[in-house]
Amino acid sequence: MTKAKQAKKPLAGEPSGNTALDVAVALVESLPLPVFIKSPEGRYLAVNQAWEEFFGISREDFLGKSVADLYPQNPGVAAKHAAKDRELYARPGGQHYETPITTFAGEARDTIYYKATFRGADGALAGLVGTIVDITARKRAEAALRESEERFRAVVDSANEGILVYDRKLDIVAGNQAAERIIGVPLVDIIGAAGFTSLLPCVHPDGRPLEEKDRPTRVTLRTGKPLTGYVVGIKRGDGQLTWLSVNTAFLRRPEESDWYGIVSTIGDITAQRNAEMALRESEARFRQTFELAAAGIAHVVDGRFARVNRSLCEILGRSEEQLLGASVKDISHPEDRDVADAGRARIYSGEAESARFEKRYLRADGAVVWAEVVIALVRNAAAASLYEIAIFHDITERKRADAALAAAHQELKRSNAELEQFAYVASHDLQEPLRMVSSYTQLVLRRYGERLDGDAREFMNYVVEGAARMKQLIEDLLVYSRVGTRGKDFQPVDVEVPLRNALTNLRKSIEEAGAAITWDPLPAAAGDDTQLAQLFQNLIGNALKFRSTSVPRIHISSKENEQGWEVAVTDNGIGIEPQYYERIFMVFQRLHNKTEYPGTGIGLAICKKVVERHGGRIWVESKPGEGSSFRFTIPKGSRKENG
Amino acid sequence: MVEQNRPVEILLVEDNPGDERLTREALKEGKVYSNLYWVKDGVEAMDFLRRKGRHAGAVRPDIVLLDLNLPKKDGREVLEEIKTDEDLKRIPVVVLTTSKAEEDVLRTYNLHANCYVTKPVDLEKFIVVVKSIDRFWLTVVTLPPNGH
Repeated sequence: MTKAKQAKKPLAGEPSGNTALDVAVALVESLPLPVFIKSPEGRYLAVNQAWEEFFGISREDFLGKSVADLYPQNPGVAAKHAAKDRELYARPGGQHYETPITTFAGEARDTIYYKATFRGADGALAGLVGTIVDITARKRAEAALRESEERFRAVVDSANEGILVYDRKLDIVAGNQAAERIIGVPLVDIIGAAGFTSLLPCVHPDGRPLEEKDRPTRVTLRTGKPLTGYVVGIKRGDGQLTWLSVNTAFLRRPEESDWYGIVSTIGDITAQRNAEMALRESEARFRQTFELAAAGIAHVVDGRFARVNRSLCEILGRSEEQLLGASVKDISHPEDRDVADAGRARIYSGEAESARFEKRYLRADGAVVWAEVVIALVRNAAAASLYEIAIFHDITERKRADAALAAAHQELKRSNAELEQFAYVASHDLQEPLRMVSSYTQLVLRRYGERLDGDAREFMNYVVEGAARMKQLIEDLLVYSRVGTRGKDFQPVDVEVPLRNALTNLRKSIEEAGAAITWDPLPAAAGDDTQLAQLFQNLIGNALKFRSTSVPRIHISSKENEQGWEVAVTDNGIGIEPQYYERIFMVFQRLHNKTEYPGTGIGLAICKKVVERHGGRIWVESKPGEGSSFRFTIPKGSRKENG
Repeated sequence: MVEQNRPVEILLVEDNPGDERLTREALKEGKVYSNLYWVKDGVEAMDFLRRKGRHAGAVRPDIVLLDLNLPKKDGREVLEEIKTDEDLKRIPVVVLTTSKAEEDVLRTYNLHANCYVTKPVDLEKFIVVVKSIDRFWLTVVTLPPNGH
């Protein structure tokens, strides 16, 4: 401002003429500190140049004025200084206090006022002299430091990682909330502890207990190097093993080479470590499965084997070295090379998860091996395909068996067709000559019988009888052969219906025998009603035929068993000796001669075949002289399924 | 018994002369008043029924006795042709089978034969069958005429 002019002005008015005072004034004037002198009334008597510069106005504006005059808008400033002045006057001597001030340029300053009273020549208090130390810069630095500390504290407190500070004795002197959370011990208990690993049982990653010398801080101290990723397992109070990764660093003050503490950061890596362990386990399991699987397994990249297991080598008759890098198509049977293409296209397009096919491969020795193969795509998280995984099962044996079975089936069909043809020949071509023999013999007997002698007639009767029996045999055989081939599909059948049909067919024989036939309510079954009628007809027909001298009584009953229904046709006939129980069901097996009981010996064989076709079995229970009970089983009718 | 004023016209389709003769004898033994016409295969049977070729002057039979196993055109085809022919389908057809089993198979074709008869080995039974043909025809002719 007006430095030059002011510099010439005396501290307080004109030179006093007092040399000592003038020297003092000159001294004060040259001081870099703002200095003022106030009268006991609080009016500025003098200020120096530094004062002028500090406040930004000239000393003329101060001299003779009080603080209240200078700060009319801010009476608080004046009041404060006035109060301080009063204190000083009351207790003369020195005084200092901090106060913020505002210069006339509008600048805020932090200051310390140093003031002292002085006395006049008379020894009475003559005023006070004071100076201002500007502490604005210091104050600002302090505030900045405080702010920085607060910021740092906030960072530490909000950190996810636990942070602990150790002193040189390696006792914990500070910690954050995360440390409390991770360690599971209240911070008040952590502070002062000789390391957090002293608070709870701790282990090494391999499970060994963590000894005192292994504590992170001790290791840091021993090696003189900071730790990174030092893993410690800590058994928390809740019984859980928490895995921690610890970093350490020495704390040093700037410009000091020696350390004053250690800071450690603690991260909870339990989840990560568990995931890693699970992954490692699953990898080990996979590797084991891959190697030990009975199935052949391969990873295929771009149509070439990238990884193969032992079983696959065995199936394909090639060593791992031979297979790795080899093209899958190159070792495929020439006719089967493209078998997998359609399925593979579907899994690459995402249409299907996996594809299954049967395919022939060539072993190193040239032998053909049939394999059932399932392939799937292994994709990464971005859904880009990494490799194909292919599982091979050697089905060569099965294929061979299938082929043999198909051949056997074909042979069986052929032989069945032949049998049918035979049955047809038997039914027709054999009967025609038979009919000729029989009919014309009868015609001769009819026309010329009277001209023949008794022997001739008898012989010709035998011809006729023989032909008739032969015809019956042929018919029965035909029925027998047709049970399996000409049967109808099974339908729900009320068993009483085929029984009634059989009785209708047998009506004449029943009447002739005067038989009493009774039956219980009969169940529903699944079967061929025509064949079931045949079954009843044969069994009841037998019961009528093999009757004793008493009135035939035939009863049909049924009971449930595990397989279905057991139906019994029980009579009071002549009965059967136990040694014949099996034989009677065989074709052409007869127990009696033809004159006593006529028949071809096929009836029960037909019954057996019918029952077996129905998945049941037939047997007889009998007491000679008392009667027989022919029993057979038949599956239950599934009325729900068949409507 | 209703007196017939004309013989029953019978067409026998049969390739076995023994059977033809036997039928003839059975008709005789059964005293059936009839004319028996004999053709030996299915093709000739259809010619007879349709009065073709040398059968141009054939009578319309009252009944057809049809054997199944015939040369050229078998009995099943003949039966099917008769039963799908508007003119012929009213002629009763008795199918002669050799066995009961054969008859069962035939029934499954659902060919609408009027009757199936298994040729018996027993002459007496055959005569009964032939007589029953006679009665069967009488039943037919005593019914109100339909179509003639």
